Amino acid sequence: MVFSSLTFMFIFLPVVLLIYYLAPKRLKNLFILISGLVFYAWGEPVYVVIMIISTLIDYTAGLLIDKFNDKKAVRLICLLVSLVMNLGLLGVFKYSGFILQNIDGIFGTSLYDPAHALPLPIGISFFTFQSMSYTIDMYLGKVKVQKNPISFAAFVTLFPQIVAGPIVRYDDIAAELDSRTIDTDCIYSGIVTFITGVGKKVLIANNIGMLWTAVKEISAGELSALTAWLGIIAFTLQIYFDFSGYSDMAIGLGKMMGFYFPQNFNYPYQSKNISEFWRRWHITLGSWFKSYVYFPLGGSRRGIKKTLMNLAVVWLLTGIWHGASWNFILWGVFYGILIILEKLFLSRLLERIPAFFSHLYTMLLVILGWVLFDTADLPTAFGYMGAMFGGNGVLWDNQGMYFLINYGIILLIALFGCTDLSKRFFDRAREKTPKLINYSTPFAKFGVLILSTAYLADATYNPFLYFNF
Amino acid sequence: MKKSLKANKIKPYKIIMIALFALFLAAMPILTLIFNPPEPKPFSENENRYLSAFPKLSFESYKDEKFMEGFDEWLSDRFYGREEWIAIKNTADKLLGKTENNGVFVNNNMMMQIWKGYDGEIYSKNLNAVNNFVKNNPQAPCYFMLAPNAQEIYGENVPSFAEVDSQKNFIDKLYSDLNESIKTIDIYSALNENKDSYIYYRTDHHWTSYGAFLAYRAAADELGYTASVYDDFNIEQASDSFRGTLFSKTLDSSITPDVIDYYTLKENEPQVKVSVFKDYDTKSGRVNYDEYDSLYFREFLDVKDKYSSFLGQNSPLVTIENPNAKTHRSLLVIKDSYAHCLVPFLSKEYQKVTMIDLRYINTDFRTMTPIEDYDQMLFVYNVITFSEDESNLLKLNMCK
Repeated sequence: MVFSSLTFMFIFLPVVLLIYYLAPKRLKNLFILISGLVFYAWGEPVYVVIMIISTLIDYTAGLLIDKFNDKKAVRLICLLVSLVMNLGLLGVFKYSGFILQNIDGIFGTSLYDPAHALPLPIGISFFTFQSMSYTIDMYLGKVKVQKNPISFAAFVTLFPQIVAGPIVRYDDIAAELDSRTIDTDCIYSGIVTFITGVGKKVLIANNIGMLWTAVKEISAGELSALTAWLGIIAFTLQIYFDFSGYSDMAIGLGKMMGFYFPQNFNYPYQSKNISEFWRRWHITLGSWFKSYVYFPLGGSRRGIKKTLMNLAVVWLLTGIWHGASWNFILWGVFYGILIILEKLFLSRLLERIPAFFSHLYTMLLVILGWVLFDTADLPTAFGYMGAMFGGNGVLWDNQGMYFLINYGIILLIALFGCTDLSKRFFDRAREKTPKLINYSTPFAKFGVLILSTAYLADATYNPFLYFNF
Repeated sequence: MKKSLKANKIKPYKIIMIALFALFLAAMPILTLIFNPPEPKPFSENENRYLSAFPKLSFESYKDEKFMEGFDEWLSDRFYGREEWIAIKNTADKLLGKTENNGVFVNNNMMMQIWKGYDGEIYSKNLNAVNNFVKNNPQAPCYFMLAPNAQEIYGENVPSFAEVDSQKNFIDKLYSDLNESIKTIDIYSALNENKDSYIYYRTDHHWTSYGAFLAYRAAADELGYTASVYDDFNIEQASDSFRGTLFSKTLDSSITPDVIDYYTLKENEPQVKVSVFKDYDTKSGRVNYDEYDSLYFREFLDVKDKYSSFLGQNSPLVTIENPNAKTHRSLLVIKDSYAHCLVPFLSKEYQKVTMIDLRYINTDFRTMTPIEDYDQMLFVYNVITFSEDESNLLKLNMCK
């Protein structure tokens, strides 16, 4: 089930919230588990089993690590079982097809059979990372064991964060799993964050995504520079509003239920360099890799050579995590190289130039990164980049102008919305006229909810014109 | 101490937000359930389709996700105030500067179905189908009438920078690519010269009776009849509240509803017999018909689909017999729905006119009505159907 659907917003959510608030405290976690399984099974009726198995293994691993506190070997075995199982699931479902395809490509074999290709279970990259965090932290002695199987299962199946993050580590919500307070403050703030997320996803990301879809259909050799820029700017904004909107929805839903998830985005497109961008973009993924890969490898404490090596590993993995395809790997390598360069000398240079240029540098590279990320293959990506810089010899054409007329306003709204300008404006206004801002917020948010509902209701509206043709 | 202070400080605006959210989330599913039509599959006039039924839950339908898909569709189809929600969405889109809405341009109090250009492959297939058919069926001389759509005549209403091909060029191309034995009928000029008149509906993708009248006049010389003039007709305004297919697509009620006119001759309006295909027995080759005594099926004036009052909804085969016609000739019309407005005029000139709609026939149509029965064959298509429909013309060359 996705949050931005009528079924979720008007059936699942009201029913779940009603029961959840009415349920006695001791049954709340059990209900989280049940609702999470229904939520997940709605999209993955069969693979919900994988999630259950993964939960059971990690729960047991945690128990055993706790029990055999002083037996190093047992603890290590438990950790390895959990890692092998989680990474194994990822490997089989996410990467096996890709690996076979490449083996076929190199050796001319035909191991890969598209007819029997495994589908990618929804959210597998998220929930495996989440529950692995528990066993690793158990092994490192950073968290206390969760003895209650229902509480542990509630952590894995907590529906707000099941399918698209933020990557909530066990440590983040361990305290809340056992005892949490739900009051008007957290419900209010949850609703506001949730509606903000709905608006970002439904009103902005979906709309602007149509521009990118339209541009992608045009072959790279026929794009004017204007169209190419409009298209990739649309994708740049779409992926931010889509992903951060989804995170906001998750964080808001979590708050409504008394959980405080970590922040996942912090105005990434305002960054002055690439390292900063990644501290503001998909924060929970970056910090996961930092905690569980970069630091264990030694981080930056073992000399420059080792540091660069570690960075390279982390960025290669980041690329691979995004998808089983060469363009994601390249995209990861692209960022790895940039971050290594920044570490070596570039960031010192960037500090000395006017802020405008460091912003320009960052956004230009991020945008080029998105071309790599979302085009079919390298020739297309380079063809597209060529078109952006006038490679087709056409700076603008009617098609580009037509896109500009149709999407200009929403692009401007989105550009404004991905900066913190409006937040700063409202924060200041709230200081001056707190009543006005506080009392207009519920109505403004309600307006966004109404408008989003209108866009959601449109999804299946499809008059069949041929009746009278 | 601290805690009690906090408890006293529940802010009213927070309560307002929570109340609005809770009420809305509760109201929509409840209203949806209460106002849901009891029929398992109610008909949506605007969408011209049956809305989906509640899915059956079984292990199979759960496993292959048919149940979930069905549920999502059901909720979306039956969502309370669905068309109002869509109207809100379309208004928002308009405010954002979107110039297209569901395949329709809305501009200058007029909706126009969008045609951006043609697909060369579909074009050649359709062209070859017609040419082959005419080559293999030389029994009756063949004529071709390709009608432009409103977008071509009212090019000034096409939004700036929109890349749309010229339908005039498309018509010219088809007319020159058609086999020489097919006589082409130019109606573009007549329509274009009269663009200040009401020749296309504002909310529907068809031409008006007046538009069809112009085509009837323009075809006179080629088809060989003496067309009646405008003043020969009585014009009855049958409806002034017609909201057609393009309205259904956009649900934009800011556009003035359309007027439907019926044309009848002031003198000697023929008494016709209209036979509409009911069913067909493939074994005996016998076609059963529903019979009517008027060109105008007034029962459709009471429903949304008022254009169907012109000889009914599309049907495989419709025959209009006029025993008092000026000549004894008969005409076979192979057509899309543009013909429904035109054939009432043609029926004055022929003893028998038969309309064939290939989109609704899946057999060799000659088994139902042999070409030998006709003196002339006329194709009536509009540019969009001819250039976009991939299958109907291919059925011309089906063999029994």
